[in-house]
Amino acid sequence: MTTMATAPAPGFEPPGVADFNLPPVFGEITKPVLLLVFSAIIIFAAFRFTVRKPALVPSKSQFLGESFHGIVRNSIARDMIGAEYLKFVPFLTALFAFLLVNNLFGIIPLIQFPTFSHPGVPYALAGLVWLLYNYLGIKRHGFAGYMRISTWPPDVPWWVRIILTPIEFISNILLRPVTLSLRLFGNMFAGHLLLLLFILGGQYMLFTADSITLKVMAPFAFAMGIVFTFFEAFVQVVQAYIFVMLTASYIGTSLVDHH
Amino acid sequence: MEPDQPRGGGGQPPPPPSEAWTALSHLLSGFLLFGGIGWGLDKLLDMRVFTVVGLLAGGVASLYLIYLRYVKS
Amino acid sequence: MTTTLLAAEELNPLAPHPIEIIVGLIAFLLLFWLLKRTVFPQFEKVYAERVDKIEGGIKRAEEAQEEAYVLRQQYEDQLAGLRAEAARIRDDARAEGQQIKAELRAQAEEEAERIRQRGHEQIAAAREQVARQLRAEIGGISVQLAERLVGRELSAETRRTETIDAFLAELDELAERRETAPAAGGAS
Repeated sequence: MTTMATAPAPGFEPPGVADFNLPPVFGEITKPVLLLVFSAIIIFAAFRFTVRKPALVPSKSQFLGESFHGIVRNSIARDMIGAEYLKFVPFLTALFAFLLVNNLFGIIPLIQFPTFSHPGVPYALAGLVWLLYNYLGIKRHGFAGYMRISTWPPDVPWWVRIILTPIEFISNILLRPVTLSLRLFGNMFAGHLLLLLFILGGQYMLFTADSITLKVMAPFAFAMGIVFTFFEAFVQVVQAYIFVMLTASYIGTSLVDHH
Repeated sequence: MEPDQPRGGGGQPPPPPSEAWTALSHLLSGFLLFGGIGWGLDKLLDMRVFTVVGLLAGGVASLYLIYLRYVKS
Repeated sequence: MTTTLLAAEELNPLAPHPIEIIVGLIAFLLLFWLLKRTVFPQFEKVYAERVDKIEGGIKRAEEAQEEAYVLRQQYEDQLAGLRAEAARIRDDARAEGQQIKAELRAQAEEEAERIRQRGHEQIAAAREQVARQLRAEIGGISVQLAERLVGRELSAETRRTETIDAFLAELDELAERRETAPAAGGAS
């Protein structure tokens, strides 16, 4: 977007990192900041709306709210965590809703910016998850017990353990929050870049380029943009789901009885 | 309170989708750790073999770990 | 935020924006807290009620089935009792009927016997009466016949025969009169 405004050069400048640095709306407040607040408000409002008249036989809106809650409750939390899953359903549901709405901002007209194509909040949420599952594991098994569960491969000679334990420690304790946040951020970033490429490319071909061929080809770029918008919708939902599912799975492995 | 018994908890490994991600994470850890050690050795001794050897060893170790955690048990 | 950080941000997409972290965490935790306090308990309540309703319904259905089974058992017992009772009543009735029939037949036979007896007696009495009457009349008639025979000459064979024939005719006439007399006059 800024590319087109600042550089009306005859050559096409592909969208890049600079496109993710949005100018502040006012003061320090940028578009992603507003989107974060906005997402929390609409999620809360939507959920409140679904339970305004709770009934055994649900209304359509109550059914939607319940289904959303039910997906996290019955097919993520219950499967991943086990017997104590009910305690974590509120956190996981709120997390899923927050991720999903902010991801879908990437394809919602007029907003069209996935909040988590900026890595700050993914880092923060992954850090939160990291604190949560390590806290739960240490609280349940003690520090040594928790380390044994997460870094002590069973039934191997000591010299093999010397090799494997560092790997498992890095994987389970250090790398989990990194992969969790980078997976989300990377998908959102790449997806947004891809859409920018098709839309801005199409725009350039149509309005800036001198070549007739490029002008004729422009609709195809836009069509591809639409196709990838649908694809991005899918990716955004899946990434939100994976983030929550892995969170639940980490909680589950921290609470496992004994290995 | 729910009658249906959830999987995951009670000693079993977590179900497949998260297993795959964990396996990938283990593999990455192995490469990083032993590749890093090899790279450090190379820097220290001014050689070039250890990075490659470290990466290979890390990969093998990771695969063995994945086998131990998710195939054998 | 310093200008160096801003510059670094422009180059590195992996660098976080602190304000987003702060606002994002506050927004998320606030959202989580509010939802946990206000909305999710409602969902859980509805789930619990629904589970309770379904399980309660199943339990109630089982109870009703049990009850129905007991009732059916009772009903069948009663029905069996009634059937036995009915059979007994029928047997009784049949026996009684037979007895009544036998009694009636005996009575009828007795009656018939009595009637026959009376008939015999009446016939006997009538015969005796007739005999008595006849005896009296025959006596009279014999006297008359004797007078007539004696009154005339008993010489000629033909006359004697004539006289006897005439007497007999007279007797016939008399008998005829006697027969019609009770029907006409009623006196005997």
